[in-house]
Amino acid sequence: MDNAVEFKEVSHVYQADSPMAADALSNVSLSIKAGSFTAVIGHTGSGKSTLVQHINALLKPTAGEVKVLGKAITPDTSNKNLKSFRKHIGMVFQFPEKQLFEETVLKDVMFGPKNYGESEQNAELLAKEALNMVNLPAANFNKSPFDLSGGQMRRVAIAGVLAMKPEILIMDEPTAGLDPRGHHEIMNLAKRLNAEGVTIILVTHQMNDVTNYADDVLVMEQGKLIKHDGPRKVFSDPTWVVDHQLNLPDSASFALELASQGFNFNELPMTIDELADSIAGGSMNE
Amino acid sequence: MDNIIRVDNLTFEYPEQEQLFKKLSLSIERGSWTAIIGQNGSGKSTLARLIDGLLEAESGTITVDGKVVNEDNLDFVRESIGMVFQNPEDQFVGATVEDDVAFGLENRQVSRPSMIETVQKRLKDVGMWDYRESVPANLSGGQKQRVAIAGILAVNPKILILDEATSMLDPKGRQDVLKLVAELKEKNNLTVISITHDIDEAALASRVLVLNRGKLLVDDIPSNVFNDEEKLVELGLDAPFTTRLANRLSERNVSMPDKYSNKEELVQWIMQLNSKR
Repeated sequence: MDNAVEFKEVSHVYQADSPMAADALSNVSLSIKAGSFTAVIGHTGSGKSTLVQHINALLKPTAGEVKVLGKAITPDTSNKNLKSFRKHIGMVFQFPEKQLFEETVLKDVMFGPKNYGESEQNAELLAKEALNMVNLPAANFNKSPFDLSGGQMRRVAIAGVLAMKPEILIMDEPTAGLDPRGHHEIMNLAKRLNAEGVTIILVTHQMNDVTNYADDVLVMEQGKLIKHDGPRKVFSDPTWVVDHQLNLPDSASFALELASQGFNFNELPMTIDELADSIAGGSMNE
Repeated sequence: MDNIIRVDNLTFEYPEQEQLFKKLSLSIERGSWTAIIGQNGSGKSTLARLIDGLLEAESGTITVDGKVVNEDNLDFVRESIGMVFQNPEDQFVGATVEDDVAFGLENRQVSRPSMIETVQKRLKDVGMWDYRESVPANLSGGQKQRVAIAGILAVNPKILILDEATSMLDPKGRQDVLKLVAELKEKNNLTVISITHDIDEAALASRVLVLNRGKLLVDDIPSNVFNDEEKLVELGLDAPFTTRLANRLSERNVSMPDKYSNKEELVQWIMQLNSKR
């Protein structure tokens, strides 16, 4: 199967007059390739979270059709059919550690698989495997999740999602509030899972992560999809980026600074290594 | 030197955990901007809570503006210090923006006319006067933090502690809040302590303290701290973008200055090299 996710003219209107109305989607059509690492960017309130909540059927479209892993959801789909649908789609919410609740780390991670009918024994195997993936030392398995540090709690919460072996993993600002080491750990985990075939959908404000990790970018604004392209293409027009209240990756923004003083770039560098290569080439050659 | 905060031989541990601070001593100069950086769990926020008297030290003394932090002086200490926390949702009490800013004044039994005047002044200071009748829940993260800062300033603290106050904000919200703090610091002669793991936020300070597992590992000016990428990474932190770029250029045999450069300085350096090639 080629596409993991397809949206056909999807709109979502929250109840009229509610303060959330600005977050709605209007007439979004898109497809996300299976096995891709897709970043969803846009200003606060642009509809990023509403968009991804349709992918794991937390929200149903009020018009149009969402197709995920071959199954369709329309405004008429009954809520009863959504649970089996969600099984293969993992969702890591913002500040997922707020959802930890069990007595021990292991029990917390086992909850998901058990909820989907795995035996106690299997659930434990899946949970341990997931905790290994997030590099949580086994010494912590029987501790209360609330005795762990913030970064460790975050990783336990993510393990709870991974224990369900999702084919699609949606992460909504998974590194907000983490220190730099925690940030690198979570992003490298996403990269590793992606290499193993998991489709990653990352909602983020951090443009360096977009160019360092993603191969596809969706740009949202006021509930509309205003651009869908590779990261290089999205950031290649700095004026467009700034006009839409987005930031450039650090490397691109530094290169523009040099360009404004007369430095020539054949192509706007997107990563720090590309930038260093261009500068070294420019000042060493000739 | 006029130190507004002094910490002497501070010892503290949480129940059933390893000792965090063991005879920690440091002082903060009046009117300065100090960044405290360190990984999650390094003791940054705990130190702030000890200084504000939210936690009690096991031994050692903390002095705030000349008075020892203890039960008798708690009101004085809390009046002196305004704290902005990470999650703006956690610190709202008022039904509207102006109610929220007035809350601290109501607690201090300020007269109504003077309350109205202060609320107006402080909301204008943070650029949120137009939102005075809004419900806090409908604001963006950056706007919420600005309202929280207005509420804190309304009671005229001498010290402003930002406890990861920008870590939940989007890039624009973060820039807005930091710019505001810098302006307010100058206008009100505040002492600012920013607890952060954002290296760009730390770059605004005149002094950087690095905490690691309760120990003060580094106490230096930002340019010295930021120039050592290896050490920062070892401590679980990141070096600023310019330091990382300079190191990658050195690896490619481009000659680089041997001290930390900010963005403008590094741009100038590269342009000069380029003109000489």
